[in-house]
Amino acid sequence: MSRAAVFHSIAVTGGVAHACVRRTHAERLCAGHFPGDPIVPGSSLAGLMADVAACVVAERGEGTELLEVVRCVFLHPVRPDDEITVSARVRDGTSVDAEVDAGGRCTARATLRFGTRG
Amino acid sequence: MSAVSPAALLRHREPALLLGAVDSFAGRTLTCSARDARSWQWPEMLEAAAQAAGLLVGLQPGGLDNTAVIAEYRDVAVHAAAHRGPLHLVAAVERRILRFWRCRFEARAPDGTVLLEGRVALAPRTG
Repeated sequence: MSRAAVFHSIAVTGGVAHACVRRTHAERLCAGHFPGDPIVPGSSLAGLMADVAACVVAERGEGTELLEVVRCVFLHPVRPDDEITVSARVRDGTSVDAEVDAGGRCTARATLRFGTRG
Repeated sequence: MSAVSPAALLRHREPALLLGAVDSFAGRTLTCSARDARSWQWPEMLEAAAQAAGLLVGLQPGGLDNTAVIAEYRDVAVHAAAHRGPLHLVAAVERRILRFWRCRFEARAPDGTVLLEGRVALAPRTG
């Protein structure tokens, strides 16, 4: 799926990326998860953070293949009708810290490692 | 292994339910096959593995019910960002700390190649 279908804006400046997730995409992610109680899957949040983090890594000219989700913590459930934003900044080398904010609070954080798969 | 039905035990429904048949269940380990042989991206493989872990924890004595949530992923090595075809999942209980259950998981291709592996912590839903 193209980034344009997932995010309605992505901005990368000075090693920091911010993106806003399209509501239609969030709703798609919640199909069947769960009936009557839609929650964006944690794995999908990890994927969104990795997508935005890859933009930061690409800006630096580094390898953009995700090698490892070092750690990903979920703090609060994310609903598809929340305003969902994803941000990422370089931690060190090819590691990136990323965060999902929804409903005005941080809902997930991750550290991701990128490189080139041998 | 027909006694354990992911569809009956998990809250997930199509298209979110990714697990098909349970291939084996031996107390603290479980293997199962994904419902569909299709094109997989790594977050979907991760989700399938998490569902296998959730199913396994739900089957443990004193385990979590199907409202349990993913608290954390850790050390998830993405060996392949994408895979096409059948997917097999392996989950094993690693440890329980208070109300948190930590499992190791693998997503494998039919030939046994490990596509993705790591750890997941599940917790009871609060609020």
